[in-house]
Amino acid sequence: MNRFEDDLKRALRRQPAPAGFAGRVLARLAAPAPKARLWFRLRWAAAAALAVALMTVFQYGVQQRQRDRGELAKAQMLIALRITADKLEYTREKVVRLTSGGEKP
Amino acid sequence: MKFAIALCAFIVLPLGAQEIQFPASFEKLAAKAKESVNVSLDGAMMQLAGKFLSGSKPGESQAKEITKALKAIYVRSFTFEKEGEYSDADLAPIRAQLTSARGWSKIVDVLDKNDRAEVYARKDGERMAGVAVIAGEKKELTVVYVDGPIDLDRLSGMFGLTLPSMPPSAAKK
Repeated sequence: MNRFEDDLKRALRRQPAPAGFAGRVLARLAAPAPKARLWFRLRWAAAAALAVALMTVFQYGVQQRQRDRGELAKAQMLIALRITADKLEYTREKVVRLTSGGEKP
Repeated sequence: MKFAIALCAFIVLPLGAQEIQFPASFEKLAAKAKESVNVSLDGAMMQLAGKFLSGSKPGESQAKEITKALKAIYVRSFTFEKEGEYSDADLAPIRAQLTSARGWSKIVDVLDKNDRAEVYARKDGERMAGVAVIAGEKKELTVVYVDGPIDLDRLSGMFGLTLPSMPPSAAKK
């Protein structure tokens, strides 16, 4: 039992810190922890990626709307030309019918 | 005096270049119509539409060429269930604009029983700078207003029609 107590005392005896230990601890405390720095970088990268993704989606939406408007304008233009041509043809037929004595051209 | 002349020119000149307006009473015919077509393409919309017209597809390439120089196209077309849904009074404000606006003149006026067809042209110097058509049938009424020089040969070719040719000299008051 005494031997065990002696071993315990020897193991738990106060030992002086190695030289420069306090300085190294203080230096580590002053510098940001490596894990925190990585998270900080990741957070910025994630924010940038999200911003790029949002801008891409927004840009796609704007282009899609522009395309829809363009396709609608194109369809309207073709309808307008068709009606213009039809009505000018209708007028021509009327003129021809009247000038040719009621016969259909 | 100079100021008064300048002021008059400032007020009158833009009116000469003003587009033909469809009055509210005319637009209300859409409510009575069984079918209606309402196309209003101003300069910006014409440019946008032009970008989407293919230069290689036959119909679209012709349309692209025809509309290249156009400033605007406005079409109102109403098809009614029964006769007598519109009257001459509905067209009077449009006719008044076309007959009073600078450069416009009626070049065709056909009255055949109840059907009527009128064609107006606007002359800018020696070239035709616009055309308007009023076509009234028993159950159908159409007004077309094209602002800008329209090539009728190309237009007829596009739809396989034989439209009348309107040389610039035809547009005389």
